[in-house]
Amino acid sequence: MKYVWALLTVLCVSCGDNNFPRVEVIKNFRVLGIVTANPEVGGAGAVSVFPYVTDPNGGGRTVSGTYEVCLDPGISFGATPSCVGVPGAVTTAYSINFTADSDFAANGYTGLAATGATVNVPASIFDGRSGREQFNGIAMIVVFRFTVDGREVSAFRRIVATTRGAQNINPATPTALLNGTGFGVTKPTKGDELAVAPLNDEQDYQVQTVDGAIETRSESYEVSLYVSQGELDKSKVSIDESAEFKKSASSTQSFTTVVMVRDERGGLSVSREFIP
Amino acid sequence: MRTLFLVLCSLLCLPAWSLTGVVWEKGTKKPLREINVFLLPSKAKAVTGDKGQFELPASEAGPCQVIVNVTGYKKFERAVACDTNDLSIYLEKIDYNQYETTVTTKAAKRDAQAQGLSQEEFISMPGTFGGDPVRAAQNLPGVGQSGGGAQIIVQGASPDDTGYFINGHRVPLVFHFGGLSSVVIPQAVERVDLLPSGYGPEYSRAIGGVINLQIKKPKSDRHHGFAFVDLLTSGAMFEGPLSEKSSYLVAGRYSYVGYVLKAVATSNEDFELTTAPTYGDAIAIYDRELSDNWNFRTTFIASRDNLELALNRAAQDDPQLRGNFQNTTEFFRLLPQLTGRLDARTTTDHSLAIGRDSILIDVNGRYLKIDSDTMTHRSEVVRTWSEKHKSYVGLDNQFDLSKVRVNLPNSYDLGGVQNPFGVGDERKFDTNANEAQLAAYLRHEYRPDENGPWTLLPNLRVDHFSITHETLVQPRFQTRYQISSGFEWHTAVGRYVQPPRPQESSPQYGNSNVRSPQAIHYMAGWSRDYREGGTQGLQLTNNYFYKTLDSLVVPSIDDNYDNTGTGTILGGEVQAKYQEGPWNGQVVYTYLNSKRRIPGQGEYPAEFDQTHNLNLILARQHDRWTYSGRFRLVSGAPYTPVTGATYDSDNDVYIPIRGGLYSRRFPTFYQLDLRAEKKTIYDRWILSWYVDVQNITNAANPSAIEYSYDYRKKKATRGLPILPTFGVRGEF
Repeated sequence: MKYVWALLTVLCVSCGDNNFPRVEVIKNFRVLGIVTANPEVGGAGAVSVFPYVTDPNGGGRTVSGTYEVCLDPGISFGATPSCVGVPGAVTTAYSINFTADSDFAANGYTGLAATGATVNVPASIFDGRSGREQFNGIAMIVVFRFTVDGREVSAFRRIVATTRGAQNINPATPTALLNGTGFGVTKPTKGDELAVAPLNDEQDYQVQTVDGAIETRSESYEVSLYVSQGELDKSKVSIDESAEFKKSASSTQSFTTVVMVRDERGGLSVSREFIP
Repeated sequence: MRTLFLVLCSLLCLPAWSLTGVVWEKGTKKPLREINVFLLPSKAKAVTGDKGQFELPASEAGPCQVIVNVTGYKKFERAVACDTNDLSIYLEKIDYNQYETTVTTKAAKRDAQAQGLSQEEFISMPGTFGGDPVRAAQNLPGVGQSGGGAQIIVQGASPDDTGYFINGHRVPLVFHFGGLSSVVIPQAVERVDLLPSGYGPEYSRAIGGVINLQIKKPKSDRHHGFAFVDLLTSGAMFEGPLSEKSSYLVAGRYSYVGYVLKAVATSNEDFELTTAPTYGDAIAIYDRELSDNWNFRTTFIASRDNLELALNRAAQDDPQLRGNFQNTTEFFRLLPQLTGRLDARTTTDHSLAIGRDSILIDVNGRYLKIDSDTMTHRSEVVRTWSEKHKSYVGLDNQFDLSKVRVNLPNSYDLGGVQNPFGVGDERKFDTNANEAQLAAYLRHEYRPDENGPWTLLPNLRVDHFSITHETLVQPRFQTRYQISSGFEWHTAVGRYVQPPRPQESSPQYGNSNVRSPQAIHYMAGWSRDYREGGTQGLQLTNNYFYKTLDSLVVPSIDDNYDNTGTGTILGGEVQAKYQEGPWNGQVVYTYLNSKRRIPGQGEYPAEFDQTHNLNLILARQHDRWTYSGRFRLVSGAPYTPVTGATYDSDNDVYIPIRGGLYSRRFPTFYQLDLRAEKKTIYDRWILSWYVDVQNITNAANPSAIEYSYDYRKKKATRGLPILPTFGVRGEF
């Protein structure tokens, strides 16, 4: 019944306070995603991850922080997403220099950080784990922490080690579409449709269920949409859906949109459109 | 010759006319027997028969005056022709209660601390959506405030620690969704009983308390019925005799509140109701007197709730919550019951409840579906050994055969703050779960001295739960000390257990090693009735309670759930009920201190730790009007603040970081409800209409916190706004 009440609460929340910042509108420093070429690995190895960040009003500054790497403490079971107290955790200083990175400056301070973090998956990652856990995957996590404008911004992702033969790969890089065609120089106005071009590369994968059965599932892509100007009716759509601009983008300011495609099991691809 | 004249005269001088008729009670059409009917000017008198019929000899043709004057009724006086046949006389009562209940037996109050409401009490209580018995029970001492929620919070326990029963048999839910109404039409309920701390051995599997709805016996004197329409629901009920020894009752309700919501929701871009949320319920009773000593009754109860909607826009703080949503909950029970007297000192009661529960929750393809065939069984023998000693021995069993289909992520909820839907560990499985809960109990009422003040009640209950493989012995002990007539002290202490919830003990979803939570209840109190056998005056009740809670099932990161939770509940409650003429009032106050402990979290206030809870209820009857009001003042409920959040890049959600568990409180809750009801008495039926306005001051009463997508912004969401309800009812 808790789900019922959670959902009924959502009914109120989702249509609730219009004064809350909208999730799809990028204004302050945010980590929009953490990208890697290897969301899954077969065992020990080093994996590079890169935060995809935005700081449109930061004016090109340096944002400093750390990243922590450790075994997943059990986040899906309720553990706090943190490496504090986790054996073998490693913390490393990390910063993003928006001024030094021309890509940021040229694209409204939104994009992939030039410097990545390294997740070292230990050879012992499968030790003491059940066959089901090894098959479905043991996760390492990398947690980025930044202190920006006096507040902490933290974000994490998992790198999954699995004995499953076929490892997950990212969705293909998406193409953002405005009213069904590629972005030009015209900024979107109210009623325009934002979507991504069809990808059609969803993978089938296997999962061992809690009763031990091997089940084949298919990925289902979810698309997260971000805009620096205007407002969308939906911040998240499925791959064949579009979102509608409920407010026009400013004609006098630059416009950035980011589309991120997730395969619901760690795979993430992203693209960006910028109109000066 | 004189004799012959008298004989002839006695024949010939008889009046040529007579006046016949029937005396009914106005509105209810109840035949009134043994009523004196007078006729003027002849001064003739007749007494009505069993069916209210009478025959008056009229002395002469012409106008006559019929007069009926009976205590409790308005005087009837009417000029009629002296030769009137089939005159119907409707006597109007001075005082009409609500739809009248035949109280077949005085409620057996086995536990001195038990609280109850009769139909007459709950049916006109303000703020109860038209007399709902369970909502009315929220006014009883020790029952916490749950806003508009469908919860009964007994003495600071979790709502899951309260057991809901109908005629002593457990049902899966007592409220339709949203808490608008309980699952039985109020007029079919004879009384609602609350068994708080220290309750007897007849019940268990609820460490907080028990709510039991006692269904009424159908009326057998004549056919009765009513139909009603209000802004939320409409329904009807009929009852009456089938034969000299059998009677029936059928009733049903259907709520169309969903159609109103659907109409409103069409203008909402965030979600649309694909099917109007609906609920309905039905009840049917067949009662037959088998012999002087044996009675058979079958009760059928069915309930269904359905809600379907499409979330067009994902929730701000949980984007996984979008798409289609459906929740359907339905159950039925068939309850055959055989009661009888084995001999002058021994009675027995056997009943079954055979039924099916179905629950479906589907959130955009993630689902929980449970279909359970269930049977509960109760048998009890009561033996009065002597004036000093009475024993009760009984069985209380429950069997469930369930098919469970789950495709849901693990849900982590600590401190009332739930992690986003998509973060949890995926759980998908189909399973059959068979469960038996067996119990036997023994209650003794022993008076050391037949005329002495003491009554000792050593009780024992043994429960066996197949799901946890536990056999749990629960000794319980009660005492009563009669200081004087209407003045009694009582105490109770006992052990109480309840099996873990299915999701907690599930090998696939929870932890098959969890054990049953347990509690020790201690209570002491007194009650004093100043009415001295009458109906006017003051009744006082004052109870104190202390509970220790052990082996509470709490979320565990390592094992999904474990038994490391503990707690204490301390409190006191006082109830003063006063009736004087047309006035009727109650003051109910509860003090509560409810704490919980989890390793690593320390001690914190329980979710429903409402320190002060005051209810004031006042009602007045005037002519055919009834006015009533209720004012509630309750300490703000605690909640857990969210101090930050970490972005989960894989699931595109923010995971909240909890502050101290339940370390903040909402503002003080207050609510004023008013109700007015008017009856119009027609000869053959009664028309009633009522207006019930909840939260007439439109107090905000925040009861939840709404967060922005990243938990940086927050806002308290208001509780129930001002809510007027209007309804009409016709009854005969």
